[in-house]
Amino acid sequence: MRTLGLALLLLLAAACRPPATGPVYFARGVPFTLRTPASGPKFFASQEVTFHQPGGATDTLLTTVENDGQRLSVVASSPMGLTLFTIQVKGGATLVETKVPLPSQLDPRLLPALVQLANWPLEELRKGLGQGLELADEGPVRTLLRKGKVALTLTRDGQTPPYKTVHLDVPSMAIAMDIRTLEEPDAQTEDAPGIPTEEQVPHGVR
Amino acid sequence: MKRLAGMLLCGALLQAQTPASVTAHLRDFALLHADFTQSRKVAALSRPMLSTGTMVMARNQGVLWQIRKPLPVAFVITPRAFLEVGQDGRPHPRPAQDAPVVAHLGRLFQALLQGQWGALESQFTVRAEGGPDQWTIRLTAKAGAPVKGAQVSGGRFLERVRVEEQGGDTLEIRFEHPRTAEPLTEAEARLLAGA
Repeated sequence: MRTLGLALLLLLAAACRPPATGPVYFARGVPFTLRTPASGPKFFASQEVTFHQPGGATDTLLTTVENDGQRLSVVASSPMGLTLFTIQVKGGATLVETKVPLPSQLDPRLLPALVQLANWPLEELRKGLGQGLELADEGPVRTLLRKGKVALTLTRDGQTPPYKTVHLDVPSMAIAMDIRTLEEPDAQTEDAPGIPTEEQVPHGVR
Repeated sequence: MKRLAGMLLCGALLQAQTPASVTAHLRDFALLHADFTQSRKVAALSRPMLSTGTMVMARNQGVLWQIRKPLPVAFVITPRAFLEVGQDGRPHPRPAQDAPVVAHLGRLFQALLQGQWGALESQFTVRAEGGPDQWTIRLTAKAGAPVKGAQVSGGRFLERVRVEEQGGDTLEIRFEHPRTAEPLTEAEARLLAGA
């Protein structure tokens, strides 16, 4: 698992010449103003994100996404728990903490923007779109159009956020992304013992 | 006076406890399988990120760390190599700096297996408490350590590892169902032998 997908970098680098504030750009001429956490659904999910590069190669990343109504957080990490970067949308600001170097032209706010595009109510998303943009919602498919042309397509499978899978296509850049919600392990009680029972440990073996 | 002498003697005995001495019994078995639950707390999330899996400690070979959920992936940690095994089942060499916490855990497990704590003492102050029935080893970072500190505890077996990272995030691993009679599967043996 590489630390950050090349396709994501391509997507972000090409799509964004980020201002520190203001709208996020999904692609050139496709601005979006992030919505508040309170305007979207509450959820917590671990997701496997696979980036499909133009040449056919893929990169995979593990992310944990939480919206508690006050804060939308995206934590990208390695499978063993090394945090790569953290993005929080809270109180009208976006806080980014990186543990690995990100390209200077990268606007990390694109990740929570994509989370919102997949999961937030349609009417709320439309309030954040720039002029000349349309967002269509037909069953599982959301399509972002600029001057009648498809800028981005999201196909969702499953019930209510977080969806079982989300497929993202950016046709102008030949980039695609698959997001798969992972099954959470059962929570363990704080004082669960690690001491073996007699049945588990043969007598005479220490 | 006798009481004071007794207290001094007890104190001296406690002082004599070393990480190697309180965990010496762990080196009596050649192979250990155990299930684990890993709980990682980061400031950006209101609840911990959980993962579960199985650990294999083979005294003469190394450690196999297999995460089952949420994303299956495995690591092979030996004195010679650090490998990641992806969903395709193939091992890929990884630099330790790509996963410093895993690499740190690997060094901890190696120290437990071999009783050699010298490699860790270059980066940490290592202190042992308790005795073989219930022990705790505390590692406090010196300058340049990959993590802020760690605490390892157990009794007859390893029970809990807690790692505090430099940024304040914490990783806690609890071990359950230790099994010393379970042989290596063919896949486990292949991965450990190939590292």
